[in-house]
Amino acid sequence: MTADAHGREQWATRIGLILAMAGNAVGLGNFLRFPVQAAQNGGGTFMIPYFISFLLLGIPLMWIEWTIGRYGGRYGHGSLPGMFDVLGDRKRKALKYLGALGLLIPLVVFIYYTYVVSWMLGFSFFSLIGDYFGLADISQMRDYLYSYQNIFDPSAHGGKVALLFFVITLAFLGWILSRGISGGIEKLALVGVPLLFAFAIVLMIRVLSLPEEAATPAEGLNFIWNPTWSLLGDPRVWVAAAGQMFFTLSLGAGHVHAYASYLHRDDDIALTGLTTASTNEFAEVVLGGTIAITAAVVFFGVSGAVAIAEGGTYDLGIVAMGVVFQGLPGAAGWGQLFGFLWFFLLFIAGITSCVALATPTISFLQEEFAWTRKRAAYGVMALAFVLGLAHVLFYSNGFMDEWDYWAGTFGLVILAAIEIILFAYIFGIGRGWKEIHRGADIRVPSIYRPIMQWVTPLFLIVLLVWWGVEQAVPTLLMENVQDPATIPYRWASRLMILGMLAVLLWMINRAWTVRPSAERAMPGGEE
Amino acid sequence: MGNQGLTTFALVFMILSMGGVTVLATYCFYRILRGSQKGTRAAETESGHQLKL
Repeated sequence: MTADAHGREQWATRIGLILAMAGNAVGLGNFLRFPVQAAQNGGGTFMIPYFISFLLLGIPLMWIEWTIGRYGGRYGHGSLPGMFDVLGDRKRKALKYLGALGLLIPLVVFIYYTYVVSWMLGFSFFSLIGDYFGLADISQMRDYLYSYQNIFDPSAHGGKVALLFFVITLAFLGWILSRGISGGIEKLALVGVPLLFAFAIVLMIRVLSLPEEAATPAEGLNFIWNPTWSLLGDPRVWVAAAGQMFFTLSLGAGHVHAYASYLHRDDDIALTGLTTASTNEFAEVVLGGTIAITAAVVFFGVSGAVAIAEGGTYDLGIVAMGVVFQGLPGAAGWGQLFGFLWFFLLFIAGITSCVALATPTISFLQEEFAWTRKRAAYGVMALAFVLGLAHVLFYSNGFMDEWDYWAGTFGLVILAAIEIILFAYIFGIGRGWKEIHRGADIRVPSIYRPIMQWVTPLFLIVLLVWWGVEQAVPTLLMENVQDPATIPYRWASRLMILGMLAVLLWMINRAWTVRPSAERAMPGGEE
Repeated sequence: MGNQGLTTFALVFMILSMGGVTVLATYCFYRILRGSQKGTRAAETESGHQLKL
């Protein structure tokens, strides 16, 4: 294990770093959310705002997050409170409190996302033993999933199976994270990410070689890619594309920064960052755009796939695919094997994101409260178990929807807007531009300097205002809640997020009271 | 919708999109491998540090 001047670990290899960052970015959204978004928002024409968002939002924010992370790591910080403090040269006391969002968002997302990822482990197991084989229509398979998700519904799973797989997933994550950056996370990525790509390629070939059922694979691809030109002028399509860019590149949360903080100050981030982003795009556009929706169209036809996609990503990824695997030609064993490959692929995609999401909190506890790595890793897992129980118990009451929206959707855009303003206007675009190029293997095109200073912030502000008016206010007022009985649970869910924020703010205050900015490494001396 | 295959436009969008990200990813990995084989980066940085491939 190599360590820097602050005793912090560092990545052992460049390929390990790239795969860990790519594993962080490649998640369930690449395989489930992207094809649904593309199909619902104009097919081929969706890719025009999608790639524009990639160039104007995704790539500049990615470079900025890597730069803030590496810069913060140089002064001993692996989480945003400390990173924002050094961006302001430790002179602006309020900035570290803004960084609380960089702890809150990844922690909140980590807790509910790990629970969802544990479902994939569960369904990998169910596929291997053929547990759901025989439930050959959508409604039966949906009941099977709902029974799994609802701990009070013992019709298919005895009620507590979801809890068991949640505990197994947390224990595995605790073990990986306790082994550290190079000994745990990097090794997981070196094994898991190539396996993920191998599974995805096998599944892609299988889906594209399916015989005609309700439709052909070509019709499935046509469903995703056929352009609807009239939608190109619809602002909702542009917002959907920008939103997808946030999810797919894991921007605006704080864990990209955390990973980058374990770099040496002279390690390249320009080319390495672009490589991870492009690897993620390959997984999303080529692999994610080919598997689930195409298979759903082949088995259920275009209208059937539309109905399934409207039911949400889990209806597509679990219910529909569960039926698809049962209908594959050949012996049932092949269906079980491909079912296992699919769900385990999603489990790997999720688990490599989970370890990233937990990293800012673990770094914060290590650096500000002198916890050992092991204590911090298992402590965060214990916290995730306790708070995650609310999702296990109340998933059917919309508890997770609130966390997913406020932290996992709206929060990302808010934090991204804050960080780009700090980077371009508090830290200064001149210093930032120089910092991006420190040790760089490629020269970032100079057009990106004004893009980072003007275009991306403007893009984010437009996005914030649009989402604020169109979604955040109606969501806040619960105007779209279909079942009024869930409203108390939704309020409890929101209060829990606010409670976590209050605790994190207190912890930041405590850390800086014990060790004020004046006693910390001061930026500027070695630039 | 409902036809037996890919329309020309769908095919063009699919090839351009998939091809674009594949070329970009391939180019990035090529640059990393080429830079690693040259082995000159360490001498160019202030600290002489280079993360091994």
